[in-house]
Amino acid sequence: MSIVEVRNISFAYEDNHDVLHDVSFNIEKGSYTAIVGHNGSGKSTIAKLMAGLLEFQKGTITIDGKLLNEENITDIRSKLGIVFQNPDNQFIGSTVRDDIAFGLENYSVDPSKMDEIIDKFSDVVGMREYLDREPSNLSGGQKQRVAIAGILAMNPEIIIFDEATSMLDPKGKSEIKNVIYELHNEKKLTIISITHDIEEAINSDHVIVMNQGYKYMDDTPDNIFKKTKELRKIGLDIPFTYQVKEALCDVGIKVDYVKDLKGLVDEICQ
Amino acid sequence: MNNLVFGKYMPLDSPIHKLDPRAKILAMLVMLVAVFMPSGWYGYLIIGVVMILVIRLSKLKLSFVIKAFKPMIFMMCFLFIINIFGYTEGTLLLSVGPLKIYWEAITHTLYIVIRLLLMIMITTVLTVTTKPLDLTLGIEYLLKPFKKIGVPSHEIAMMISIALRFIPTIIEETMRIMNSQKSRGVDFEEGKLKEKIMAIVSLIVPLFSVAFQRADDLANAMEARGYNPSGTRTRYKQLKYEMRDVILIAGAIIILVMMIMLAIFL
Amino acid sequence: MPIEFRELSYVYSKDMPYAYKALKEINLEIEEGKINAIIGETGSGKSTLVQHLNALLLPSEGELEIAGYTIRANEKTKGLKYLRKKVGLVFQFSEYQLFEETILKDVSFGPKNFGVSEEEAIIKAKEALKLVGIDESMYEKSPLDLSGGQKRRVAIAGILAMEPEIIVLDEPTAGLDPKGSKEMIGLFSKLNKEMHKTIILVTHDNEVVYNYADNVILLSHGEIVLNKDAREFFDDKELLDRLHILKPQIVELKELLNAKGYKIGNEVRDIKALAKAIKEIKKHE
Repeated sequence: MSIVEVRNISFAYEDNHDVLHDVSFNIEKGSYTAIVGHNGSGKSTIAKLMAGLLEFQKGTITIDGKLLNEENITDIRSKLGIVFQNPDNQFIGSTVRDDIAFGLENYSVDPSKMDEIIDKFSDVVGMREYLDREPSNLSGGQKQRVAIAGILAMNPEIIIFDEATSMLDPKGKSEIKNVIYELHNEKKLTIISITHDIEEAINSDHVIVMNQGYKYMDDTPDNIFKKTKELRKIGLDIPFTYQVKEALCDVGIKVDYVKDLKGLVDEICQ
Repeated sequence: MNNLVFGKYMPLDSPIHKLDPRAKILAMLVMLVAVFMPSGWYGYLIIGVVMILVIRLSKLKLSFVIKAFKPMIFMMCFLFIINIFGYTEGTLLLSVGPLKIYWEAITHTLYIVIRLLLMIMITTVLTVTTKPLDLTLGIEYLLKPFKKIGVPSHEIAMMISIALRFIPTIIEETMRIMNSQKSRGVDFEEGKLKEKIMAIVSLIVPLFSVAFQRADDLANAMEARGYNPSGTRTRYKQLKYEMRDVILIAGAIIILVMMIMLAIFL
Repeated sequence: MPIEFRELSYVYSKDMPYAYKALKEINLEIEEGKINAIIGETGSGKSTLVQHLNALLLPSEGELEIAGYTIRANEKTKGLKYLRKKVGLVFQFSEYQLFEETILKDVSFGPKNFGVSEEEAIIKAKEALKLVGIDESMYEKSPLDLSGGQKRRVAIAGILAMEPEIIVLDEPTAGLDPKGSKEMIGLFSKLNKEMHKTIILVTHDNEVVYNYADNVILLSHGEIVLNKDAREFFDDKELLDRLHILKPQIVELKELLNAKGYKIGNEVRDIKALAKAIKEIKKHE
């Protein structure tokens, strides 16, 4: 079942340069989708359109059976959370506790129930010990975890990560990736990750490649990454394991499984 | 930047910290009015003693509050000099050549200085014992009755709390841009007027462009999380008046009344 | 002449109750004419160290010798401003330093601050912009209208126009897409190979260190853990394991293969060579 249906979306900013041309795709409920492409390919615009932060000129977006429009926007936003790139610019509360409460306040949750919710979801992202910390005393990865807790508190179906790890150091990156995998595998949430991290894309269920405002490819990761020529044509990175596979193929050694290094090594050694 | 002690919140566990922010703001306003009563030395002595007691109760070190007075020393000298020239009659105290110093010049300066010191003491106790967020919440609640005449109490509180939240971020940003421009040969300390203006421009323009970027991001983040300024929201932090808050306001009013009496009868 | 740190310490908020020693008695020699990568976790003191190189921070203890200047703790050194011309420091998210009306004006701002005449500054700015690949047609545009990657390049041109001998870069690829990052690193490599500039690169990306750096300097908790030839560093499996260094993928793949009985030597450094080596080994099986 598709939880997100994007149909023939076109979008242009007021100053008239087109950002998206006739983009359509479906996203399955409970799937992990990676949207990849260069800066300026339109991939972040898609995220903003889905959250109703920008108005598109043509096409329709349906989220969880509801058409995205003025009337349904509040409902849809409670089902769809979005974690942005810059950890500082989305931390609204003056402490971790207050920041998680911010979304709850917006949806008029009973204040007496908030503490319980805050405790529960700060625990999920491992931030329960930091509830009274101020943002200036937190690392980038910790701030992003708070952003995730704030979204989980709304009980969403879908979380969009809009380059959420790109400003973090390696430690922060792996912290956030682990949280994302956990949300996908255990909480069965639908994950849409807009990312430059090609290795992350390999492990997703579904990859959409954007190029200059057009949808360039839309398939399973393996079907996409084995098309190294097409990817090189638009200057995208090829995952390391696929590069190895290609080089081995050139010297006459065939390998199939290339999802991770260990699997690749096992195949080489057969 | 951390040496800006004045008015910064100190997380201590004291009865004053526990008071409701609304009660504290109200009490502060009443006390400020009391300070402005021309109640004479006895009046100021009473307020001074009360404030010292309050400071003790809030577990703050007196020396900490006194630090906040330091910037006042310059002001005090300035006032004194003005008053020396301002008072040309009264009880002569000292005469150095053509300069005559009268008693009134000194007492008047002292009056103003003591009032200023008391005001600083009162506001410092408020800001040092109340979390900035609680202060904004208090302001929001107190402004609520004025909503009917068009005062956007919630928006004001949200603006203040976001401003407070981003002060450290912007200080950090400023440092970084200053360092970037220093690396390009900008001298923020010395130089001719034209160079100085250029130095400031090279700091301000990037600072604004970053701030706009931040504002844009922040607006998106808030909207995506369902924020609607004109909609109804609940508040996580609930304020409730307790007995001690009533006592605080009553105490402040009693002091105000005393000052009025002193002003009338002395 | 190499850059030399001798027993250098730096303390933030000195004489305050929350004073913090970010660099601890550092001794370090950085060779000229090479690409030096400074690595280490966030908070290990990398940025503090780097800000000493152009005297934005002055040592609390010890001394530093760089580009003909000797900077000692508690001692005033004359003309430190001119050190900043010789040592160009590019900050993280350097696009935030842009402020002039046009790109050309912004890039010529640096040289002018160091007393270069208007005409000469423009010439230098044009050279620098050419180097970073900004087209002539853009020169009169506002730097604030550019895309993120282009802004960053203009900002770097602003430093290059000062013609520094040593170029220090703090996370120059943060926030860029992989293509933009590659171009950026390629530029630094070119500056080093063709113009013989000393490059000091602070980075978290060990793939970049592996592929481009001559030397690796590892910092941890304000101390230098090692200063080593990059190849030797990445070839030393035990060392990498002991220091919990995130390995470049090719190093990890070689290691996994060798654990299975393959004998792939240190001379194999890229994917093509690796494929060939695997083929050779398979032939002999």
